[in-house]
Amino acid sequence: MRVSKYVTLFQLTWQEYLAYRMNFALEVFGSIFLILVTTLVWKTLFSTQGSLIAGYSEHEMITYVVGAGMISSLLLLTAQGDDINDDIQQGRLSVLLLKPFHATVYWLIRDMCRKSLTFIIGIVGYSVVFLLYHDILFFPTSLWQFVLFLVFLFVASLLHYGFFYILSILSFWIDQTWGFRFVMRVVMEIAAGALIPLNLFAPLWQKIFSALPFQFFAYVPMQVYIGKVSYSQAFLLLGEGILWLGGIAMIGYILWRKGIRLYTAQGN
Amino acid sequence: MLAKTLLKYFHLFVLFGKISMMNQIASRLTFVVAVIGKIIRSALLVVFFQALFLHVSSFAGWSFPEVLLLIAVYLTVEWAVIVTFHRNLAYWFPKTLLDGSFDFILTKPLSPLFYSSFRIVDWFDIVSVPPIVLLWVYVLSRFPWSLQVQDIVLFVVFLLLAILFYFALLLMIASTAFWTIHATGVGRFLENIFRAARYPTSSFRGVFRIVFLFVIPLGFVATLPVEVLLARSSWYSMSYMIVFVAFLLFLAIRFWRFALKHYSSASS
Repeated sequence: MRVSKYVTLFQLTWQEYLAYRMNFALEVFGSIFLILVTTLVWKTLFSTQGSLIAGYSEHEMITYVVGAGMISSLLLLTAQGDDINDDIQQGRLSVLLLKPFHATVYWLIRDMCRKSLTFIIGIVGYSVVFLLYHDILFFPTSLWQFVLFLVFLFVASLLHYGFFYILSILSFWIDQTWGFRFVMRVVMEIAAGALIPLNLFAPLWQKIFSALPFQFFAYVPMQVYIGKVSYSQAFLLLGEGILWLGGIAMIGYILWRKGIRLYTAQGN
Repeated sequence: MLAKTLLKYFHLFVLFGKISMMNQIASRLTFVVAVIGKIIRSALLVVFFQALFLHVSSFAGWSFPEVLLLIAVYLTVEWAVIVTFHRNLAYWFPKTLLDGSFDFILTKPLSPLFYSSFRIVDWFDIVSVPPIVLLWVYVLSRFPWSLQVQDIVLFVVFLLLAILFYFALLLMIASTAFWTIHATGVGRFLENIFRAARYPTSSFRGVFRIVFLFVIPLGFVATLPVEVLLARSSWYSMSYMIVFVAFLLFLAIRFWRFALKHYSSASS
């Protein structure tokens, strides 16, 4: 497998997205503003309600909110899956099928490129948050904890892509898939634990959220980061995440195989 | 004469609504799924605050029923702006500049500002209003006060002012599209800023409180209308909002006219 063609694809996508850098910047800075607002709210809550809320100290909660907010500012981008939907609906997939790589990999690279660019553009904003809370935010106590956190982030970004991929390639069968993607995004926003840790919810909601894979997007990585789970628990969770990833990949593969047989395109 | 003009624009708005309805229900499955998504989103906001109140006795001095009232007001304002002008100005208007179709808008015998602001009526949100109504019924049933007619009238006035505040802010930002063309990121940015209005302004302390009260007065969106309804607002905060919104609206319309003069067609 030649890697250079994927590097070239990444570079070309990067250049394409750079044209929209202002839009990316505004989107990520909006998310950072929201992180800042949420942390301010938590600071007020801690100043009025005591030093411990639901087992979280102020340092843990602010670190959680900033970390989860950063992750969601990279993952929960708008118009996710639009390009897949449009490529299929508008017949551009025909061109992609002639290229020396699989369309799924093409879309994955574009997705990763978008996430990377958003992260780089957001560095300035993230730095402001770090500067504001430099005395509150903390790093994991061990290097392994941090490495594990990064592994979870990688699993999260693949899972995230997988979900949008599955919902977007439904456009082989239906005209518009944005409704499904919108519902998932709405559920994801809260079930990922991007706003507050999931263990703050009522027991019934905790059960529902823990049965969904969205907890791997922000809640689980941040629990690992702030040291709320042991290594054995973390590895079990990683196994669960990889199982979800396998399941999503399998569903994606089946849908693609069935969908591509239905695909037709007209025009020149 | 004024009544005749208003009636003309009202008829146009109804007509826009009919056309939008026909377009949006063209894909019925997507329409139904999107409406479900909107309903879930409203419900999850309540779940989010319910989770917080499991661990804190009050939220920056606000009780749970008061916060529910705040959410009801926030969702009502959000609903009103999304149904009418938000997406028009934030997303569809910049597109007309990009593809040159704004030229045709200028040739129509109606205000380009009206057309750009209300061309597409969002039926996805109109249909998803039941959870907001249910929330209002629930909230009002939990409050022991007896509302006077003048309280309700005053509240409605401040609700309209909140909508006008958002309109003026968005109009100013959208007008920059005459120079930048790609202004959709601005819409996303403003959406994130707007989300901060879900929290009472008493959640913020120090310099941020001053910013959210006077510089970017997000308290106008939900906190102040709620305080008006609870007869807690001071006359100077109400006067400040009236003057601020009137001035911002005046400025926004002037800026739109100024920007319009700098429009150069994009079409061939």
